[in-house]
Amino acid sequence: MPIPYSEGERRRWRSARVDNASVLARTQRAQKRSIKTESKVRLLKLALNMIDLTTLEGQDTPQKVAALCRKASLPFQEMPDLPTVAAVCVYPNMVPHARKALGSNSPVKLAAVATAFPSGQLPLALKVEEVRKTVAMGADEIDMVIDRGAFLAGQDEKVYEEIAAVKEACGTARLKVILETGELGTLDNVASASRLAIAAGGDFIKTSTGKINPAATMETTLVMLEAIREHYLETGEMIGMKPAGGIRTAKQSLHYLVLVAETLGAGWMTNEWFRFGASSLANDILRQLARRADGHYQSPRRFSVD
Amino acid sequence: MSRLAVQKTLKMYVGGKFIRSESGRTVAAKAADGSTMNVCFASRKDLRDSIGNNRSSQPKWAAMTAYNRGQILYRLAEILEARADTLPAKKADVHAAIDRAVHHAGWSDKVTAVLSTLNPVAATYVNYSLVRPVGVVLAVPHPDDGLLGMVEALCAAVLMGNSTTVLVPPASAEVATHLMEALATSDFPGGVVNILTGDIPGVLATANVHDDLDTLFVTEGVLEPEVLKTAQIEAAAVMRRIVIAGRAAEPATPAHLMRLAELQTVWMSAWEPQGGAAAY
Amino acid sequence: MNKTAPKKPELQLQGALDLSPSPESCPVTFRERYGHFIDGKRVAGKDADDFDTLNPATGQPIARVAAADATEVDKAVKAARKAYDKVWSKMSPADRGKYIYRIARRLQERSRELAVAETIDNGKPIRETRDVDVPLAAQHFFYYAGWADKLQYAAPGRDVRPLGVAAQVIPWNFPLLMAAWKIAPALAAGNTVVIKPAETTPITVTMLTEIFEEIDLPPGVVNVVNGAGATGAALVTHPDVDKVAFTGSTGVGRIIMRAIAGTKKKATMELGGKGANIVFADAALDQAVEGVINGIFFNQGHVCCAGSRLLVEESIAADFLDRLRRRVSTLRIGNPLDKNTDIGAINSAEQLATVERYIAIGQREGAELWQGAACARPDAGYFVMPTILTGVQQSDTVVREEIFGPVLSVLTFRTPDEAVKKANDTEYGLAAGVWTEKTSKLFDVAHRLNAGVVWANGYNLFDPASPFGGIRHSGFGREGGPAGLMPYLEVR
Repeated sequence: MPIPYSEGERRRWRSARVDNASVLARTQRAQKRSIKTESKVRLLKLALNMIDLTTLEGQDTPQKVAALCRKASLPFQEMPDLPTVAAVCVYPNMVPHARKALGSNSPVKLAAVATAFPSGQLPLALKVEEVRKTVAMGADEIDMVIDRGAFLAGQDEKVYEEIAAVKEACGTARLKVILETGELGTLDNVASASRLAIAAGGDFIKTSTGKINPAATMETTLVMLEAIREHYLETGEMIGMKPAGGIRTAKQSLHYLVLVAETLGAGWMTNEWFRFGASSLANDILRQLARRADGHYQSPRRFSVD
Repeated sequence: MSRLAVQKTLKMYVGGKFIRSESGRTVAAKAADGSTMNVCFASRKDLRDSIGNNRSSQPKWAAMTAYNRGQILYRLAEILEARADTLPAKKADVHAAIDRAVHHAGWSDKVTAVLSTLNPVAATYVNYSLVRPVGVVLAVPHPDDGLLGMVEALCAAVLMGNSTTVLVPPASAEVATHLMEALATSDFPGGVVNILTGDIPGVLATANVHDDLDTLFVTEGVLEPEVLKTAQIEAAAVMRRIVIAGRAAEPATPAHLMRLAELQTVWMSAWEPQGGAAAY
Repeated sequence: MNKTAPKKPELQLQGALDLSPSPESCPVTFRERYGHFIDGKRVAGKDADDFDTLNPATGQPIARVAAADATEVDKAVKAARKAYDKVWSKMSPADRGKYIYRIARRLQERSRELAVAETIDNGKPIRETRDVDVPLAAQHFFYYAGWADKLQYAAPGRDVRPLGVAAQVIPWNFPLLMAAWKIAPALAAGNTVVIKPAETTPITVTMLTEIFEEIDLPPGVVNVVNGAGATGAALVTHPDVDKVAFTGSTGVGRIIMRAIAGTKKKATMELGGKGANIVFADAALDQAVEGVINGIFFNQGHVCCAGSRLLVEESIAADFLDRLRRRVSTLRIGNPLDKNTDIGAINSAEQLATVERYIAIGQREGAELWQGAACARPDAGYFVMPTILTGVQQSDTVVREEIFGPVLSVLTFRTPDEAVKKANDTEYGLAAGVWTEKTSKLFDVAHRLNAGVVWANGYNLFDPASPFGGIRHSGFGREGGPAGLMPYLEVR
């Protein structure tokens, strides 16, 4: 439920205050959680189930996307009982191919980046048009980018209106708002942009495009989770979270889940409300799960690249 | 025919005012010219009043800039210089005392720089230690050190922002009175330096059970070992600091002044969330 | 979602992260009996007055421990004197430093074993012994090792000399770390040592003596005597001791200061505290929550500098307490050896009784009690749930006295002046914290707090380069940094 734009709202977003050193200490503490045996298997399966399996390359082909969709639906042939990933995430041009590969009743959602991803440097009307067409082609979810330049220039109303317009264009598709935290410069800005994106109607807030370094970090994720918590406690409305980019290992994904569980609680421990934007993470999780299953440390070569 | 002189009873100095002992008690002591003078004799209540007065004056003194405190100490030297010829003491001693005030005046805005540190901690914090005043100091200079002893004790005690009561025996009262008069005209806020004349072990016995006294600053050799031991035993109740200073011939150095201060370490959270040690 | 439900939304934090047991597995072999370490030799000690050291997480005994009497203490002091006169004071400063470096390195190499032993003997979580106690102990030896050949720079323009034999008495809350805080600067400054660990936590200091053997530290340079108060009394009052360093309660500190009055012994006292943690409305609130947690629930609140008083600005008090309770609901209490345990065991039955007594007093004086964690309190062993007392007044016992347990007393204030006034309204003056994102206020308040250590947007951070110690009833002298050398040096 969007919150109407007002100067007062804007001041509230911009009054975000974050202490960097303490955020760092908190994330370091989360990384000390030791997740072993049954809980490790359970949480790795959950993490696998939360992945937006992503390919966003200029050289993507329909074949590659089809392979990705197969992997998304059946991550590891030898362990057919494993959950699927949450979604595949592709460029708009690949949506028809992915839709075809997934079929219409897949438990795997189809997400597409849009709004002139990754820079967002396009007039709003064209962005809206892009989103409409992408949804029409079969996307269940839209990952949009905010205009970071406008945000950093203090043109919050412009950022807000873009998100609101895109949200409207999404129709029933869920909207993930990429803040591109690596370009925001401070955790205060991350907190402010999170509030703004939530107020403007984002269903999810997402850290990064994966095209900018740094991408997702534990610190930015924690600050965004805290913004989601604040919104939920004030309004009762749940907002999803998606760290994306740079999360490559199973162990990293477990640390993120610790942050989610200890910041937002059990309600968010589902792919309805938490996603990992990642490409290589799935294979590392599969390695760990296969190791638990047969006792052997796995060669990465056992798992298909797509 | 000789004139009958006006006899003056030497007062004490508390809160910027010259006071008689609240007990009304005086004792006779010998003046430099051999005559007998009457000296106010500090009672237990005089000490309590003085410490209470030190306590209320201290925060403002500490809050003044170090530059300003240094100027006031220098002003004390100026006033003493102007009165140097009238002091009932050897010229060399008076000059040494004046020079000592000048010396310590210069420390007030430097000692913090010498004693403070920027500590390279393995965490995302800027960490520094700085000296803060310890609070209220009872200073007992060695009577044999004369004016120099008093000046050394009071300067060392107050230059970093403490307030002090200087305790001298009645025999030192004549010189002490000149010092009080200099203090009274040298811009010290009232109560930063008080001077009591009295029986040292007697006043100390009261100081020992005064929980609001932070530090006892005594020159070596002033107290009998048993008196010092009693002071140490009583100090334990409130962890009062007891500082034994050397004789006044040498000025207190920063290492010595450190004992009249508290080191405060501050951890300020720093900006970059990178590297560093664990949460604690 | 039910749109008509007027219920206030709340998070399901408890049970959100169901973790399998994850016990630290590094084996430690305990001896049946722990004696003393005198003149480089292990001394069994007498059977009279010997006692058990317990695992507080189970209440079961680990080993017998000897209690040194005056004769054994005398032997230890004599050994330290001999080592001082004949070896340590004659050695080149650089070589002294190299011995201390060796200690540091061996501590790191045996860190897992030490962490496990500390956790079993003390009750604190392995997360802390592994990440704080043991690495920080090694860091202290590294830090002071480097000072050994640089002492002339500690007091520029002055001549500095070691004092001689240092008698050190340390508490049970950080057994190995406190030994490091005491031994490292003493040795670096050229002194020799007799140290007495707390009677409930003798094991890791004994393991440290094994390290002294391994690195060929000359006999007598560090001696360890085990025992309780009588042993400590014999040690600090020994006439051939030049320096007394004590960390512990203000009550015992007073006894020691009286006992050594009239002697030439130099003393440092690191005593109790009642730290205030001030949270302003313009703080980074979610981070301030972490600071409050670190302040009072680190090491079950068995920390002299614990932030046991929360002073929160009235305008955000309710909100802040909600945030705090939510975070506490994710803390795991239980088996200290489990790597996920946040809150371990209270060190002894005696301390457990003390903490529980204070909680009862608090309630009797009108405090409202809240206790919480991610899981239930274990049935065996000595445990106290994280406790928050609200509705307390400045004059209440739980606001004035050091509880030394996981008990937070919450007060409110309206202005910075009131916050400072309340924070400083204590006989103690060890540590305090302040949380605000407004820099001018941060500096102003930090510097007006009467405490030896102030954490500005942080709490319970320690570093060997950072001087630590208190004012007023919290003691005197500093440990850490160049200031930490001064108590072990004579400045001429």
